[in-house]
Amino acid sequence: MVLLVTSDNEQFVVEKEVAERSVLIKNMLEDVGESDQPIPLPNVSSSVLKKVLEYCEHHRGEPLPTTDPTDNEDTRKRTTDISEWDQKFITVDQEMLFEIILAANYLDIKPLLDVGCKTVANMIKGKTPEEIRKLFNIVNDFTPEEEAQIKKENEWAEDR
Amino acid sequence: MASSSTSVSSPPMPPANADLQTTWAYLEEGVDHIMTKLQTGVSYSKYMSLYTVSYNYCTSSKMHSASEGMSLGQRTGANLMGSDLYNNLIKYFMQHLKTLREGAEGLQDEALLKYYATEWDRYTTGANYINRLFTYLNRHWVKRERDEGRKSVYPVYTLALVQWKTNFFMPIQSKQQKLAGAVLRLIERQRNGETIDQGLVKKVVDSFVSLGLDESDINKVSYEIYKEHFEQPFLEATEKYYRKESETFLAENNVQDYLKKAEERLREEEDRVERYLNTNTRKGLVSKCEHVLIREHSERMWESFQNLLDFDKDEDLQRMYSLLSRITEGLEPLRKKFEEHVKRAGLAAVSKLVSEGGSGEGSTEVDPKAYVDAMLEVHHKNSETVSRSFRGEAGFVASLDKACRDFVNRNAATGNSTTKSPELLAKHADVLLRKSNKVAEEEDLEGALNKVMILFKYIEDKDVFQTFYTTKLSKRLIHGVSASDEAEASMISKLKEACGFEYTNKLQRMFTDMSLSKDLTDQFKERMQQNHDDMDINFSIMVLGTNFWPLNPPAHEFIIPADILPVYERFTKYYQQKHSGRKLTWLWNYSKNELRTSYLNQKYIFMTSAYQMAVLTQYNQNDTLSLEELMTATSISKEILTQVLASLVKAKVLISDDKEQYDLNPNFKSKKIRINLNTPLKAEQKTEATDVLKTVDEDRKYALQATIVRIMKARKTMKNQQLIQEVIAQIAQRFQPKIPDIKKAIDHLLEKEYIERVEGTRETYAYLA
Amino acid sequence: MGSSTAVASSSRTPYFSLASVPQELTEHILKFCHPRDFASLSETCTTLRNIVYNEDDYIWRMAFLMYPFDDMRLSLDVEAVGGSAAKGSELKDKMKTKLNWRKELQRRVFAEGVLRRPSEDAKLDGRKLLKAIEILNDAVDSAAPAASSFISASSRPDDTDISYNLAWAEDTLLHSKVFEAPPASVMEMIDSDPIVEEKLERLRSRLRCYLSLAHETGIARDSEERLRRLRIAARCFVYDLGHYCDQTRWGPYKLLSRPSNQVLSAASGDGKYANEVNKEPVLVVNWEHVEHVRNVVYMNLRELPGYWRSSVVPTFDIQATRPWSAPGYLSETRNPRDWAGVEGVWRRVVCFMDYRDLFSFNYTSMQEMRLHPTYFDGDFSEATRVVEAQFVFDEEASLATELEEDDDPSYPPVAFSGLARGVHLTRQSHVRGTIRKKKDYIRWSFITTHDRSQWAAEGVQVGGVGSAMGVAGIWTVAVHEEEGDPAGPFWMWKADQSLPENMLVLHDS
Repeated sequence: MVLLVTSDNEQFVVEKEVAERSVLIKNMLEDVGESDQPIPLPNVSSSVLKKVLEYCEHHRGEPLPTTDPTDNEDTRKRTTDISEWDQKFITVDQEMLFEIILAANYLDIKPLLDVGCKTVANMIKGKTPEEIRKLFNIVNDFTPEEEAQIKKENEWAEDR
Repeated sequence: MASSSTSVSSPPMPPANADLQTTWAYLEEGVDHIMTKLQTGVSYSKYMSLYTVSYNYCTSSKMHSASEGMSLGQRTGANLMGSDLYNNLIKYFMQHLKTLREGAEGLQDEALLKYYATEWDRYTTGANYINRLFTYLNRHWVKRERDEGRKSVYPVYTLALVQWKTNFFMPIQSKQQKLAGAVLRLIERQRNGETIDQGLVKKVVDSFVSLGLDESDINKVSYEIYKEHFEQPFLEATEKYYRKESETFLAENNVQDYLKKAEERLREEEDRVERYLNTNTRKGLVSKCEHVLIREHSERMWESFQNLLDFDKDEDLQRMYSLLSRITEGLEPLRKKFEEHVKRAGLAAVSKLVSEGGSGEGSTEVDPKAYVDAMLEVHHKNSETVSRSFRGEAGFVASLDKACRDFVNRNAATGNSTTKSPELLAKHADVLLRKSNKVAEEEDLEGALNKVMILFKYIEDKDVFQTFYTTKLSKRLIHGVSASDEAEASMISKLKEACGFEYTNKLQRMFTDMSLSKDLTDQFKERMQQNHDDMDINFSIMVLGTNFWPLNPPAHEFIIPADILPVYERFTKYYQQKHSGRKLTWLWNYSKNELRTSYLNQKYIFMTSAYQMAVLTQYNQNDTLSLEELMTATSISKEILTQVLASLVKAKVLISDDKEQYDLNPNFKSKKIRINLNTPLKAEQKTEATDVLKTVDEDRKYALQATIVRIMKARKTMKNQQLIQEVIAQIAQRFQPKIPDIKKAIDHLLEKEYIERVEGTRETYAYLA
Repeated sequence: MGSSTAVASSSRTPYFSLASVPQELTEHILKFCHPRDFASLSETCTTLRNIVYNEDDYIWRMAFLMYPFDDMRLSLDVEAVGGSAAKGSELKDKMKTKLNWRKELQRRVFAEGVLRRPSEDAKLDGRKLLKAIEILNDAVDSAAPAASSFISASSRPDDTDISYNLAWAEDTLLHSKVFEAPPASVMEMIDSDPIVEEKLERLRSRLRCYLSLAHETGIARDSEERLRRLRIAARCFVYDLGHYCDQTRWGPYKLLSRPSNQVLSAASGDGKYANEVNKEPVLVVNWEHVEHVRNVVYMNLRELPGYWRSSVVPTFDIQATRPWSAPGYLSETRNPRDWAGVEGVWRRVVCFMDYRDLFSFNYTSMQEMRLHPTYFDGDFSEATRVVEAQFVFDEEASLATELEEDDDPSYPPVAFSGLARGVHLTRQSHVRGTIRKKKDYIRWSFITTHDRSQWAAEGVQVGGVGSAMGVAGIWTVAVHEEEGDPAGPFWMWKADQSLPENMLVLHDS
């Protein structure tokens, strides 16, 4: 069992195997050695950690992806497939979605990071620029000249 | 903050948007703690805050840019901030290594190595830690930089190694190879028999390997540092050491002892690689040692080889073989010497035999068995040496074969003739396969035949052997003296295996004829019993294919005695009915008979040749006959008839005083009832060998012509020299053709217009379809 | 953490969003997007635009590789270095910097869009269609070389070692309306000029050649019918002796009045240049011809008895066109100068009509029956022979062979010699030939001498350097007197080992 402490000072007692879905925690336990000290997670709030732990719990025991930083690219082949459970899990409001992505990035949980990013990619898929702006609350900050220039740059994508 | 005591003095963790100065001040304190005081431990909260601070710094600018509206093509996030942290890390490593360098000053040899090894351990352990703390930097900024082709940016751990190399390893090593020198001196002490700290050597040597870096792919190991700073000087030192040692040793000891020494040293060096060097060094080290320990003394070894052979020093031979086999061309001189050795032994064995046996008359006729046994013994002994001492190595097998071929075909017994050995070998085989042979046990006979094949392999004129063998076999068959059909078949299948179907085709046909003849005799008898119950003559016949049997019909007429004429006619008729169109030629000169006497008190049975029978049956009507009368009655040539009569006179069946008149001896007496009168005629015996050789010559002529035609048909045109070479290549399996013979054959074919000279050339022939 | 900006942001805007997470995360999201979405994203705001279009090609390279396409850097191995490593590494580095991942990916997305559009659209722009087909051909030509040679002509040691470019090209073609359609109906679909049409046909044929009928099982009724029609068309073309003359080297070539790669530029102005080339006709590979050759041979092979077919006839698909994929090509024993991988065992299949049949098909006095497809109705069948050849790379002769003007100088001509043994013949024939790498094809020509008769062969490599698919072409007599000399198709591919002796005997017909 390990003790995790969130940014808002909430404590979570978690099985080691579950906590180690986070490569960050796994590496630290390996390097520092095990003890009953609490592990502070200053970048994660309790509401997000709760969600992340739900994911880790579900996926416990699965093999971890290789951690070699120079390892060249993920498995080739772009795929946005998401398993049924993950799909359900990631059906959250947009704020939480991005919070989860950030937490997964910080805690180094690659499969979760991918689920989050794929979800965003699926949201974007096939949408017009205007639809995308609306979806993500993006403000159009282009001048008309800039906009015309970009349209030209994008001609290659038009024919279909 | 956690309760751990180690973090008491730590400064507070900076906020998420802290600037570089604040951030690095915090990180540097932590990095230094890990690199220098890791043994005092790190708390979870310290670890997490170091990670978080570096993470926040890498991701911070993005958040600023989003809020402060920075924009336009600027690379942000870990992509920009990473280089700040990376550069500071470099600065830290340089500073840290300067301190280490100062600690090494004044240290020498083992003390230096111990310091180096201890610091290496501490440094790499710490660097591994740091590498993980800066994981986010590695994952994004470093990876991206490398993807973009900036190969001098490394993941943090690799960076630490690169720094160690330039700021610690190189400065020390550049002072007269202080590090490698210390290692080499330790190894030399071990070679001298001292005990050293092998673990220490291994650690230092391994660090050299770790420092090698393949710029383009950091996951690959490069041995460049290890090679330049250790392997090369190590190999040089090795060469020097063993050159001196081996020269000193050989000056005081003999070659046999040196072989043992060299073997031991080689094994030792291979062990050394196993124990503390990189396996890649094995090849270079071993070949260096082989050069100094073996190549440079190979002359001495070659010189003493003969001596080892002469005294059957099996173990030393084996050792010499295995040492010399390690260097290129090392064995060649041994193979040559061995070949000469075997040849000498073979020739000596035959010479001895000839001088012992041929003392009586001038004739050098040796006993086939003794001849074969002498050669086999030489072969056996040396082939044992090949398999025992030279591990059956192909080159030595070839030397043995070459030597055996030489002495088997040309030796004191053969003189210049290459036909003598095949003749003797065929005769030996004949003796083995006869009923009279004492080698009764099947297995022994089989073994003896296998030995014949050993020598057969070396015979050059295989066609001569073939002809002699065929002649001998035909005798065994028609005289019914073959020891066993199984042994005959076994021998034929051995020959077939060695020389192919064509070689033994005739031999097999001879057996077929024999069994067909047996059936034929039985069928004929049965028929006669049905039609003619008056047959009082027991008759058996062999019908032999003209092309398969080396038998010649009598050169003269022969009047068939009236007593057997009816049987002769009945059979002839019977046979013509059965196989119309076939021509029967009666070989009276090979026929034999049994005659019952009725003119004496005692009944005797004479076993005779057909000629003897023809003469004796004349005495059914007369008691006295002149030579003239007998010639007329039998039509046998005078020359043979006198020999036939002489044999009958000698056996006292006939009496003659003047060789003109022959009387039947009415007082003939013998202790035996069955008397064999059928002794071979002198003339026949003598001509056998020359006849055989004449046949061989004829066969060769045809073989040469046929081969030339076959080659020309395939090639259409060919130059003279090419053609001759091709003919030799194709026919060598049967015999060694002489070039004048080939030329003669070509001329013959030109004459017969099978081939023609291509116009305008002297040397090119074309095939005429 | 909670900085002042977070407090200030309105409830409408989440604190983190697509445009406001660290850039590496935005890029990670883009890895899962289709490149076409890049365009839409870049039009939303400056931040995202700068992530999509900026000075480095990072996300484009990612998207390119994850599409997935073959890593262009690997394809350079083939382009740069005449099959042997080392000397080209400098050149390679130079070329690497020129790689334009963004442009190439955009081109391919464009081509895919054109080719996979639904058919009920209005007329296609012929130029666009041609451009798409050209892009497909380029992608096929830049397939990454095989990392592991085929074990035999049809089996690979590593099934995952495939070229993504080729897989993509295959998939795109099979989903395209213009791939299989007969020329006439394609021409109806488009609206264009004859020059465009000619090139379109040629390149379409080339791609079909590369696909090698792998997708036609011949089992389903419609597939069977398609094959039947293809076969008749192929025989009509291949046995039409009008295609064989000196001008076409008696091989699968044709003369073009203008170099076809000038078509677009010539049409878009610069008429003077176009006129100039007009005078000088160019010889190009007639891929339509090659396709028919392959179809005739391939369908004849399909009819061989099963036990024989399974062990002799490879089941080729487009992956067999990869450079270096032929059996033994990557072996260390290959002489690096033998870039064609000619040394070794080859299996050559030769088809021929009885000369009397061939003659009557071509020259029957019944004018209207000349070259008539009905000739091949019913159970017509020509002879099919498998020849086993053993070739040797002739280094000396190669060095002595001069470079022709249009040869690729980094691939000097390869000369070879060898022995061929026909299934029905016990005698051997001698083979001598050369292989030349031209700008856009690899030419094989060789002479077979058999007793006193001599035969010539002209073929082109189907696929890249050292492709497993081998060489397809035409055999004829070696010395030509006039039109009407016998000719027929052949196909030849590298084998891993000799045929068992009994196989050679068994097929004797």
